[in-house]
Amino acid sequence: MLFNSYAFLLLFLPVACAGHHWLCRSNRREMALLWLNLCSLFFYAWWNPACLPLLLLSISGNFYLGKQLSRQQGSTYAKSLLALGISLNLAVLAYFKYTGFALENINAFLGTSFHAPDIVLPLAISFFTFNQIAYLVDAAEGMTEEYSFNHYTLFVSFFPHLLAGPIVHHRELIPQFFKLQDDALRQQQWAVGITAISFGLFKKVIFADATGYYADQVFRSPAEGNPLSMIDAWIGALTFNLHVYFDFSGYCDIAYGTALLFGIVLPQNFLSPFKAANIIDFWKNWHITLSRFITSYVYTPLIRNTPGGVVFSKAMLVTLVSMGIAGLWHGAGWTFIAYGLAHGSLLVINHCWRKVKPAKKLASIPAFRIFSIVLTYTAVTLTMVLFRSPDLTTAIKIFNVMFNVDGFTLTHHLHQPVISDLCRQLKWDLSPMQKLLPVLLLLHAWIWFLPNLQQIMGNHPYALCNTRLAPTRLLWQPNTFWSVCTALALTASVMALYETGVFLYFRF
Amino acid sequence: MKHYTRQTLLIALLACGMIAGANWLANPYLMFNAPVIPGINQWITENYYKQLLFKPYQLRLQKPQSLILGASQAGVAFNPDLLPQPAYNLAVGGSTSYLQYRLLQEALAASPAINHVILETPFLSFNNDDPNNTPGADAALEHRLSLQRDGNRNFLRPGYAAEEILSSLLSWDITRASIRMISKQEAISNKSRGSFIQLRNGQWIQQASPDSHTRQLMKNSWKKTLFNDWLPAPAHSYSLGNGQHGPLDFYRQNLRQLYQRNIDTRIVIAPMHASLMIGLQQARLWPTYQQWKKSLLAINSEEAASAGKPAFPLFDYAVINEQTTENFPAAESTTPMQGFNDSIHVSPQRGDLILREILSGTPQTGRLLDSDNIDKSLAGDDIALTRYIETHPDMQAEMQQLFRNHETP
Repeated sequence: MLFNSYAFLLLFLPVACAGHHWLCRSNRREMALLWLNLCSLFFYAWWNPACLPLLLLSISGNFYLGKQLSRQQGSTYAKSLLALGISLNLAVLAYFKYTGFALENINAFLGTSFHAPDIVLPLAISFFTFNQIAYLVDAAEGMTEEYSFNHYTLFVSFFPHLLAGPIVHHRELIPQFFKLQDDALRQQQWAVGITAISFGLFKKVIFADATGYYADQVFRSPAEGNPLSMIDAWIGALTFNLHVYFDFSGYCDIAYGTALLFGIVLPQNFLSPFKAANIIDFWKNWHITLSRFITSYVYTPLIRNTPGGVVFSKAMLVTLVSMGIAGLWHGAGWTFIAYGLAHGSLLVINHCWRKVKPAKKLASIPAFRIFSIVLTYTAVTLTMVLFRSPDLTTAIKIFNVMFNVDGFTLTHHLHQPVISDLCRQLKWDLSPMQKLLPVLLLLHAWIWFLPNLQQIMGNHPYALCNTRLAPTRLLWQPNTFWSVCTALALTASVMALYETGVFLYFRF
Repeated sequence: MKHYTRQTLLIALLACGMIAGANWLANPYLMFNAPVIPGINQWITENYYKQLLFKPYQLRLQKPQSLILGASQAGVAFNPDLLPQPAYNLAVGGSTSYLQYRLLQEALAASPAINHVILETPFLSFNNDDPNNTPGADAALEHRLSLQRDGNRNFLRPGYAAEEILSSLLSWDITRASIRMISKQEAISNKSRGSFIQLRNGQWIQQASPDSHTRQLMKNSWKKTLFNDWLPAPAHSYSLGNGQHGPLDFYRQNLRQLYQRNIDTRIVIAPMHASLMIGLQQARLWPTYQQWKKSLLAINSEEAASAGKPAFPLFDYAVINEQTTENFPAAESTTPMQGFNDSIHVSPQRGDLILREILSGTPQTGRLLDSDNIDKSLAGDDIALTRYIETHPDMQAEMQQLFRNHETP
């Protein structure tokens, strides 16, 4: 089920909330959690019920292994069990997600003709696998409590984070299941939750879908044999940047708001990454929980378990490898590996730059900071071409056009239905470029100059961000002004639901 | 906080309710039984591309006894009010043979009382090379109908219908359509602008803009009919294809159902302007076109024989006669032609005349095709077309120019 669907917003969410709150009010906490579990499994099965047994099997298997690891911690048996658990999780992930890709490459390199089986990729498999690997590692180190099966299942399957993250840690989620909020607290959570859902939806269905429509046309062009100019290619890359930004940011807000309706605070996952002045900061603000997972469960073990102590060159090599794995996590394709390695290389360059003496001085100069932000944004834009392209050939074609000065016109086969419609209504005779440029500038101004939702809502008790608050006049207050703004955002979003697309991160 | 949450939800609910109410009242896609209010929704203008959305709904709602099936030619020409009531024009613009099969299947399920059918058979529907003319080409259509292809109930339908009703009340698309439609009402009433006007009985009217040049309209329709409808992208080719699940097979299955249910059916080949027949010849489609007419007749005879019933009458109005060779007006003239809106669509007056002839069974301006006269009739068409080309060399030159300008189909 999609967050941005009638079925979710008008049926599933109200029913799930009503059931949960009725059970909470009558002090049946365990039943409320069981209800949430059932709702989450229904939510997951909505897309394809055939994938539900795999999720349940994965949860049951990991829960059992976790129990064994907790009891046997420190022993050789526990180490073997942990290795087995991680291998099994990765094997399942590899089978469902990477079999086709692996066979395709084996066939290409060895000239064989293995037939790739027709495998349906279970939704959210990357997310629930990572969540549970983290749990197993912690169980082996004695860092897990004795969770009940009901709690553990909800930790993995809780529907606000199940399909596209954030990648939650058991220690930040399960303890919250034991807290029963009083009525006043619940009202606060509702107010914050509904506001976050409304603005998140607005970002997704109004901004992300419009920009995505445009980017899709550009990235389809090479395969369809349509000509692209340099401007087209850059605009395609920039609109995809905006698309992925508003899509993921919107998704994170909806997930956070939805979880709050059930009294659960999800970890922060997205914090204005395009305002970052360097690539290290970018990854501190973009898919924060993935960065956290990769650092804790890939980078750190690799550093620890390779000989030679922690030296800069080894750290950089491990960074490169870790980012390659992060890239591959996104999808089975060379474009994703290239995306990860490109970011790894940028991180290495960034770390090397920090070792240069004037780096710190320069960073404090405002003009240099602006230059750094633009440079980081440009670098991310280029890597996003890899992320979005269906294959490396398309990516190379797009790169070629981007850096081949062959004209500054926008080709006319790129459709802009909404803007064109508006211009027709207003009787404005504008060229495609004239129609698009203001929208691009406006959306870039939005992402660079406006505070994000976490900063705007940083003054409430469930704030994820309380360090960089928005200016006071922009801070969210539970007053009529914000109530009207939220209601209008929600209405505008509901009106766009029929034409909306899926979230980008659902495919991972 | 409690106040904030309630206030927010209440405002959102109120806003949604007001927008949905306004859209229900405007009803631009004819999805609801809203009253007709002059100045608001007297002229339904925005749903030409939504026929597959609202026509199946209207069908279930109106449960007609008489039905018109076909493409835009029938949609524009045939007024269901002339048929035994209740009647509905289910013709869908650009419909393929497969789509017509599915719509008839839907109609027979929705309204078992159907006992009169006018089956218009457009040439474009029978293109086996058209990628849309295959089962499963339009997934949205398959979800929208209450029956699956195999005749079983479509279990996805309720969810799909709920989404369509919601989107027809509360979406940017419907709101834009409502606003556009309301803003056009006055101009359409005083005929100062052109538009497609959908009538509630399923027929639609092509109201030409008062300043549009009739001759240009005719020529624009050459291009659209030839290169978009008959020779669609990407293949730009036309073949009849006799195989199972081909266009002719769906026509056969339609007839089989109609014979089985003893439904009084009249098959019609709608008129086209003779100038367009030059286009057919230029595209080297003339022999295929003639063969197509023979196939329609042969399949009808076979199905009648296998049902043990007299064959349905097949009326051919795509002939060269006084009506189809009506002269174009002068270059800058805005006076509409008497019999044609454009080269492929007849005027409503001419449509009424044809429908009356069909119902009476005595075609004055067309002919009744049967196995005895088909060869002679088609041979006569060959001669008539040659003569028309000889007497209208300017028309042929313009058509040749059109083919030169357009990329080779």
